Amino acid sequence: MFIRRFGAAAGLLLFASVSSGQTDRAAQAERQKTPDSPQQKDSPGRDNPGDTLAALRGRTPVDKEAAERGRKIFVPTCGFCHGNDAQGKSGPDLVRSPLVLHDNKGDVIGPVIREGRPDRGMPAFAAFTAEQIADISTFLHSRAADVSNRFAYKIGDVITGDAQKGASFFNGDGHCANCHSVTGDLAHVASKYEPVELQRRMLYPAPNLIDRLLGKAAAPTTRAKVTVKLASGEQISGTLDHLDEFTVSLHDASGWYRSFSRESASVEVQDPRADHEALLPMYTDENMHNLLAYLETLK
Amino acid sequence: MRTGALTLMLLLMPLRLFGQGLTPSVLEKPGADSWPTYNGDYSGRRHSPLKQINTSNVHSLSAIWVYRASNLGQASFGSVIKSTPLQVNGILYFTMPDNVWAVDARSGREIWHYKYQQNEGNHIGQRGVAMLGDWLYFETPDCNLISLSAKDGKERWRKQIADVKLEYFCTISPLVVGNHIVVGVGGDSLDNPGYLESRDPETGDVQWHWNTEPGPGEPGFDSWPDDDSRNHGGGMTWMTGTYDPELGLIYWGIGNPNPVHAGAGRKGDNLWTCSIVALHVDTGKMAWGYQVSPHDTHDWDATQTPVLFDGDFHGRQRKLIAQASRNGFFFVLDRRTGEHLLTTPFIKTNWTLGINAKGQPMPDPKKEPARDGTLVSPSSNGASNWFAPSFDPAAGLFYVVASQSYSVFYLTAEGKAEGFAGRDDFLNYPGAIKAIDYKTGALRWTHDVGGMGTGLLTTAGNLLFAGDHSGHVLAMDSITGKTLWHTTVGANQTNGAITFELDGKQYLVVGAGDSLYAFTLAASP
Repeated sequence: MFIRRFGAAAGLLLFASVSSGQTDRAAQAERQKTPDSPQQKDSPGRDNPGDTLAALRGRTPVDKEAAERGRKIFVPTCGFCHGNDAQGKSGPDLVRSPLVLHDNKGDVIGPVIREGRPDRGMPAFAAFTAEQIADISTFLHSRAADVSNRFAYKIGDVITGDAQKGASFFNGDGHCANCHSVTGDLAHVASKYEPVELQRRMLYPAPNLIDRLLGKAAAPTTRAKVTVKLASGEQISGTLDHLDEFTVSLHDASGWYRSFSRESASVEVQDPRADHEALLPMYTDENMHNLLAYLETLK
Repeated sequence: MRTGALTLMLLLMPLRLFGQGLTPSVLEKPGADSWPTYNGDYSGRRHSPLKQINTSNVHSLSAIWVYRASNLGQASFGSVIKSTPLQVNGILYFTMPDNVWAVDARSGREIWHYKYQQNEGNHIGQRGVAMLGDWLYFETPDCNLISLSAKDGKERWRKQIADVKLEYFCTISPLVVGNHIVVGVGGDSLDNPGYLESRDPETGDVQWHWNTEPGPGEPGFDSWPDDDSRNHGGGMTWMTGTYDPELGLIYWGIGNPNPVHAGAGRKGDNLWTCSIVALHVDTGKMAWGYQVSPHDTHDWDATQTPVLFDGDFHGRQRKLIAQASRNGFFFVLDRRTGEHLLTTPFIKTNWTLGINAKGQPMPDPKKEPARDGTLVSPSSNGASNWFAPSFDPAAGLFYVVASQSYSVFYLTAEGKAEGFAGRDDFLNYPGAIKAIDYKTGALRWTHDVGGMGTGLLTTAGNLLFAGDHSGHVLAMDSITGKTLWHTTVGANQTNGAITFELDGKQYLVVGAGDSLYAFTLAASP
């Protein structure tokens, strides 16, 4: 429970404040969890953050089977004008269309599909059944949900750098080799993490808070070490548990929890993340991409 | 006979009913015995003249009551108190999404609880009610403006202010000026245009409507490439503005453009997104605008409170407006004209090519979100966010909760960019309170609080109240930043603290998680 973890939980609170979908509930849940507790792996939203967010907003998750049925009708019939992704071509964009967004199972778009809009060049499709139109409606709502839920966005190919230059940075300006070894702690690191996660952890070795809140499994964070020096001269070292302005707490070598008032103790923290944080302002994007390309060779 | 005469006399006396004091003129000069608007007064300073609690006695500040909100219904999703309570006639009014409470400020006892219907709006937060006369004004997640009786919480009327089906949602405490209820809207996930509206306090009907995106012939129209981008350009109005009664102008911070992370389809400055705008409160006509982030692609809206104060600037007395903006820069302008006076960074950013002649940071195109990522400071959470800043006029210091955060920004959209069209992968979440000298932008002091999340309050007792991220409420010396008092509450502080005087005692009221906490000095001074 290092102070940064509180910072992270609170970061979500703040994140929740931005004018877009995000959850305070999740932030509360975060506070109750230990950082990398195994039960998170069983969370329902693990594979589909979209469902998690829909449920948190009191919306029914999209019926994926109906959406797929709808897509199969939409693409060959409507895609030519509206685009296979429904984002518009010669015909209007149907993803952010107020008419579609107000539709419920075809009650608004049904008449438009059946009767067409001859004045605007849209032919009538009179033969569709109510069920087929409802499926098209579900497909279009699923497209709007895809667009409006950024946490379900898939990040693309991030390995664009030059591995050789990355190796030079690793052993040179990045000073990575001071603490890490590609045959030791980093052996096979590219097999452990997806490229996007590896890029993040390479920059700052902590699980992404949003992913954790959405229930994704995350590898543990390296804990900081701390040494507390008491006025008496006694020194206690251990794994840092929590540090704030007033209290420091740790687990000592025997596994006991101990806490101290900072009024009567001096505190020295060795946090590997501090070195990563210090490096953040030094990176160019090129360095970042090259370093990732190098780490990706460590399969 | 005598009794009859007395009765007659009483009947003829103009009766001043309890609760009818909150007139427009009181709102212009509220007493220290109340906190009748989101920011306490129109200036946005969140600075109280009270000094019963001060640097010499704050160590004896003690909790006198706790009120824990319950029976929230659907709002469990957003069940923390982000709202700033109002305090009028000894009654506190505060909110969570779908919920309004009236609580006795002296005892913490609940007077009434209003609960809105289940709805599909985004329940991300609710920042408080507004009040005029005996009526409260409340925005719901699905964007109804509701007028409630302050006496008993009964609903008088509701009017739709935005369309929830298009992904708008509403969170703000409206701004009451004269006979105007100014309402803002939020929701940047589906490329809707932003706007402000003034509503009639009696009926809720529209008095004026101002669009973030300019119409033909209006300044800024050409800062968009075409109608499609302009009509889907975003620019929400989700934080309460400020007001200068002498100039008759309201000041509003405007949200980020859409699609949020993809700028290619909206080349240009994209006015008036990421701007501070001044509007005539009676007409909604724009007096001036100043854009703090031209062509934003990082979700750095400029909705942070634009704070008003008068003071010397380079030897000249000015009416000033200042914002510590989400993009990491502190701005000072002349609020009569919008003339730019000062731009300085309050964190170390890496996204600009420098500052242009108008004082605007010029975005580095290489730091726009990319397929393989760009490392940018600050993150989309921003160097600052909605957490209320404070300004102490005597000290000349502007206080902000600042975050030296980093993110990797990715562009993700395949085909046409819509919605966010990208996302950023957050690395760190630091937070510190910074005291900024408004004349130079120099940082007087920095106090690490472990994360960004609470609003600030300063008082004439030379105190600054804030929360840290270990569940403490702190009182600091506002001149030095040194902690003078702290206590633990049940959660991290989630709103901005307020203060007022009742029965000769100065109160501090703080929201943390689902509870309100009240403090006074332990012994009479």
